[in-house]
Amino acid sequence: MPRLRHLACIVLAGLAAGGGLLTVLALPVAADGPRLIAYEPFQNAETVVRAVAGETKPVQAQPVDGGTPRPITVTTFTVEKVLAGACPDRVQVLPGKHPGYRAGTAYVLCLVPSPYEDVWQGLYEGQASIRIEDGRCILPEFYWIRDDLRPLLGDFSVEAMERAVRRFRGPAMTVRPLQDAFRCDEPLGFAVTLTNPWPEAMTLVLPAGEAFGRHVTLRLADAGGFNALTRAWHSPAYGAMPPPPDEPADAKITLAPGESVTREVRFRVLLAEFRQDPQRVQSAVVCYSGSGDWRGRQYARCPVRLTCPYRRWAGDLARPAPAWAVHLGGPYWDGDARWRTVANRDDVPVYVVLERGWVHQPGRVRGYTSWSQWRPLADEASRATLAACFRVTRGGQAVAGLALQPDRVRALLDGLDPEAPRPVISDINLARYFDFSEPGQYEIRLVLPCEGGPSLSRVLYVYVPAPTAGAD
Amino acid sequence: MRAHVRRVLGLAVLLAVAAGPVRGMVSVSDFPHVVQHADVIVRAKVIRWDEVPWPEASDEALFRKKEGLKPVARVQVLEVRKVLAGQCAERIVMEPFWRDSLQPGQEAYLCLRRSPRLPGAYEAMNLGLLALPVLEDGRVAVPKRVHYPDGAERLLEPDSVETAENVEAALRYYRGPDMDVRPLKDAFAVDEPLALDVTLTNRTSRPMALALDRGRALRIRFGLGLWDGQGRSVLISQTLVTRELMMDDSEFEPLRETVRLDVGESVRRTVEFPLPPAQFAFSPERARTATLTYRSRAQEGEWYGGQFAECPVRLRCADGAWMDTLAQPTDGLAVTLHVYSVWGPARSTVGTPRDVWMEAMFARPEPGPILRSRMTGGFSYSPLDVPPAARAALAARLDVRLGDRVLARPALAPGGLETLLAPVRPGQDARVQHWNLAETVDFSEPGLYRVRLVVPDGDAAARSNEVLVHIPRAEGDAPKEAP
Repeated sequence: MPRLRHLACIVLAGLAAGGGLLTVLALPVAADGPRLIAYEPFQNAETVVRAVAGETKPVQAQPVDGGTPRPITVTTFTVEKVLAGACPDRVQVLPGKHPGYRAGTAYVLCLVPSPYEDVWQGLYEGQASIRIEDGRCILPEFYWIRDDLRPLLGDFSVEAMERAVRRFRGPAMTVRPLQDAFRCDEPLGFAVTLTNPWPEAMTLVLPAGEAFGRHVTLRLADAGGFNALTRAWHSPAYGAMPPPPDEPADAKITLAPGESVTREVRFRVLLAEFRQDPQRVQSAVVCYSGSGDWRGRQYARCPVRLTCPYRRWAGDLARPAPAWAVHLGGPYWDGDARWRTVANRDDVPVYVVLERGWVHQPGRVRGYTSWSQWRPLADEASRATLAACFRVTRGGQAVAGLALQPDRVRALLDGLDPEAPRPVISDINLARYFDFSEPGQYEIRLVLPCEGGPSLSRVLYVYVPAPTAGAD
Repeated sequence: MRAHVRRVLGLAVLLAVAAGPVRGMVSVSDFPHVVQHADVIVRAKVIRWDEVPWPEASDEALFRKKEGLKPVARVQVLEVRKVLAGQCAERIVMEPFWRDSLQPGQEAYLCLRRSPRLPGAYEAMNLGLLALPVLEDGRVAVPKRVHYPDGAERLLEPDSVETAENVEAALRYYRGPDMDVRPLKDAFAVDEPLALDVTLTNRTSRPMALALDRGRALRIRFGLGLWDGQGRSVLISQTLVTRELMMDDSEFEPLRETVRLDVGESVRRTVEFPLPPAQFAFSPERARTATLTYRSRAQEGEWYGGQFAECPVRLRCADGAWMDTLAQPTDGLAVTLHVYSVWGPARSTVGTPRDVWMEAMFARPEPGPILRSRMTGGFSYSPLDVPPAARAALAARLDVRLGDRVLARPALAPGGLETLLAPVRPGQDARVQHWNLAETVDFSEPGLYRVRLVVPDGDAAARSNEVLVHIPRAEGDAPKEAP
């Protein structure tokens, strides 16, 4: 949040200058059409391939979350060359928003796993797909080719593009934990090794000491690939940490071809930043953000184990099922409001986010997520079905609510589009389904029946003040 | 921290400077917005240049002193010929435009707001880029940078010359309908909806279509602010976001309605706001004024923009124990305490014996007119550069309790605090960040702690809201007997 505030200050300063700042930011986006700096799709893709499009046809696909198979349309590609990552010789790709793959045409594809088994999808819904015609690569307007990137892309020949992809992809990176297991309330230390795979020297911004922490972020995931933290990425520079001493954060190092360098970083994660029991953490992904003559992000994953002595507290946190995670929040609960949210007896609004397991697949390392795929579920039937899954207690006593009908829950979940990974029910007034007329503190939890075990949200505490009626 | 502030400010300045060269290439903010957000719209003539001192502790004064310059601001004195909207004196002081300032003798239609830097002065909105100079023959030059958002009527063509009558009619139209608001009751219970009667009257010279939806959907057209006697927001945000805004917009599609007002015609509606208790920063009973913001920008042909009005309001709340846990400001100072930077679905205030991180925010009310300018919704804050000594002085003001036991009691001797709070300027928030209370208070025992900051302010003490911090029990910790 403070960073958002800083950003807000900067925006305000820009506005004070007559709106020019917005213009500066908007120029590459709105005025000229492109959306992303040219290297970003190549870095965010799990795999980058040169492939020839084959037939586009409907197939029956199995959602990775175990739902019912459903008909989808895919294009089959024959992979001619894997430029980054790994992938089979033939791949099926969702068409996405891409205007359509032409059979017989070669493409450079930036691919990520789709929500269906054995099916890939083009990054940014296919908009990053590059067509090859007469040995030249046709980049869609989606790419913003900054002046400093043009020399790498050269004449846009296939050879130049393949070389650029390798270069954009950056240094090879590995990461390992500094201990076998960490306590959840001690800093998590990792050794990060970067190697120059490029046949020429590569300069990286890579300061030593605490300043290195400004260039790396961390993701912790459980066995199902669900994020264990409240943020998508945790940074040593975030949160309640004093800023590191003013040492140079932009110290550079030049790696000869094949040369490696190892730096250590410690992430101090506060208890409040865990959304799941820390003991469910199975893997860590460290992301290095580089600038210098190579710019962008590189990722590496390693197994990691956390111990948590605060067992009762950990029991209050979310516990996802293999396929679904459920997040519960109060809409007014932010900033200066109190940790116990307070509500009127007639108005206990909460929001629910249903997250599918495929969003953070265990095999997926890179950080791309599309927030635009949040989909609101506001119809009454969905709300009532979900309301029946709430457990509300006051002073250890259950508060009566709707009867749970698992079939309707299954129907609700099956009906959700696997390609919209984060359906949101933004506003459920629990006071419509439960009796909050007694003042006091209530504990609220959502328990979603799923195959393989229920998905539990964290416990939400709601305090209902004494009513005003009759007070005077 | 100082370096951090420098970096942020430096970046802001750089961006502002970088914005300069591209200014001419593009439009600036939408013209109707500027008209609606101005505190006052006048036709005025520049009388002379003048110099006024910058406030003593302001950044500008400090910077100029550091550079060996006279700590004064160069301003223009204006004679107001006609007030088209708002209220102002016959002679006003205005900070000059960023570039292409008006010169003495020149006259223009100006959208002005109170200067955030120079008390008592005005500044032209959008740095004067949308000033409408009056030419020698009494006609008015419309700048080429005038831009309209989609859906707004284009009454003044960019880069044209218009009659003064047309310009004034356009300014009045964009300014919108007159809005009058009054509470439906003398006092509302905090757990019942706050009901306000709103009357919108078309006093412009042309018919006007307003978006005024039916039923609950009407509420999404309005934003509510609640303010105490010193002009501080009683809510945690300046505008209450109603739950409807968080819902799928399609729910309200069938309820959309447009009301057409002829010249002089009025329409009246009742708007009800449920008041979520979690939205209160201070006791609801401190509320004295309600502000209502109206927005109309739904469909083609409707008047595009926002209007603002205020009325007195009183709230009652029976739960004294709950109100007591909210912040209690003095007349001169408000203090807010919250956990630092943790958001999202996890429970925010859980700590460990060595990590209880907080932020403290200090706010002073602005003297004189209440800070509610028509520019609602923005905020600014500056991080307080807190040396260790001042942090210790602040830590001495902590009130920390575990159950009935007092672990830290505020030492109210004011020494050291004046220095700390001196930079907190009226109308601006200042924060102490990265504050680990575990460095000064013993949180080693598991349990629920209640933490509060009590800061002396003259003869009184500003009390922050109470923050509850849960220190979970680690396996192996033996339960301790209550004393």
